[in-house]
Amino acid sequence: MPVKIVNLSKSYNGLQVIRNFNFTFEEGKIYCLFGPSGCGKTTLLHIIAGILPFDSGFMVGLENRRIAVVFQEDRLLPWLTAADNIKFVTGTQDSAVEKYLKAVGLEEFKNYFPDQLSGGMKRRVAIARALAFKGQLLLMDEPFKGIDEKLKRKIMNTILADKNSRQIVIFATHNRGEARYMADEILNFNINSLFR
Amino acid sequence: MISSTTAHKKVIQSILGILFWLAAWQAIYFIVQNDILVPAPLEVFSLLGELILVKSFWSSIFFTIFRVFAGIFLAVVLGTVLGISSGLNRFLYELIAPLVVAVKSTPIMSFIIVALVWFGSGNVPIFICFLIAFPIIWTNIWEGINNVDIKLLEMAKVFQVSRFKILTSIYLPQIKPYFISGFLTIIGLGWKATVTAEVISHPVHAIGSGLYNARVSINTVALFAWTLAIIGISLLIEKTLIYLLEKSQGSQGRKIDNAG
Repeated sequence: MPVKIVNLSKSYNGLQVIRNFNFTFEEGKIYCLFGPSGCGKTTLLHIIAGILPFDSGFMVGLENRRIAVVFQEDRLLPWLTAADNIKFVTGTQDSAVEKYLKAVGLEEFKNYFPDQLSGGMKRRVAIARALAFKGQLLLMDEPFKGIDEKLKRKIMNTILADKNSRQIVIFATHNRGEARYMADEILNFNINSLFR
Repeated sequence: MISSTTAHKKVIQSILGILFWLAAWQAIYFIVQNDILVPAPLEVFSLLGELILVKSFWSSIFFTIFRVFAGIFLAVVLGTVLGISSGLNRFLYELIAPLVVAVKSTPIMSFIIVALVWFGSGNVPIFICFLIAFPIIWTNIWEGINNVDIKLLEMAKVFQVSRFKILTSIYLPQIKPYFISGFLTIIGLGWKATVTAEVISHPVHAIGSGLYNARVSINTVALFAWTLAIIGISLLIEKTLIYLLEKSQGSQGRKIDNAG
């Protein structure tokens, strides 16, 4: 089932960030929200994830859907190891944890706590967590920030390889290379103009 | 090597501190020249030496410690459960907050007198210790719940993590430093409140009763000896609990030090 967004609007303190946004995200496709910082990409992702209320409009196709998110901040539990952070959302499937930690090149760091990892490594744990969750909708906000090119390519290939097992992937970036490599469709946004 | 030298230096400094205050006490004794007002340190320590050989001294200490722990245990259990519930439920907070404010601002003596009417003398100190400790634990836990990282809760919500798991993996680790800070406060306060209540209610076996008997017989030496015993045991309990808490945090691999 596609995710349909109709006439969605959102304001912060009188400043309209999203106005009458209309779009249909089709199943089996990867979408990129492309644009500079501050143009409302994160707001839109948070609204789709259900953690931010919107002012008007409606969304169809999100009911009972498993949603996995890579937030702009890593949002890892500091008192849990990398592996336990993944298990926290997936349950106790050790095989999935191992598989996705390996996919992001962190299999040797599974017992490390977030404060023992670099910024890029924490980012990779957050990505592994979202991938291991096996969401039907994968939302990623600047997912490859701080990750070197070689690893980035490896992770992007994992997401592309997993494409058929999940229904929709939506990611936000301001990196044209990432957008072109990953996305089936790129949605271009400008500052203060998420007015599709 | 460096850490052992530092620890050694710390012990020497602590001993020097104690010796300084003992010397000051001796000096005051020489200046005042009145045994009823200020007894000689040597006399006090000699009486303390005699007391520790008497069985009733130890039974008093045992029962006082029991009362302190009973009061603190009740406060910790109820304070934690109600603190968490109040943090998650605004109505419950509004229900309990006025009670806690009232307890905090009421003089302890009022409670002791009322408790004397309600309970037997042995239970008054437990009740008083609970009353002193409960608001602190409740407030700290409530504060801890309110300072839980919203972004982590959002993450858990998106990933459809169960409420139980959110409680045990997000809330509890985040309120832990608030709990520890409250717990360390109530150990000292609970001890003082319990002994104060014992002085007023004077149950059969109690440090407070020892103080009371010393007061009515104007035996300042005994008063000081009991007070020294109270300080010693209070310090011993506090240090032991801090050591155990640190050890338990160490064994979990992580120290949580983000208390507000």
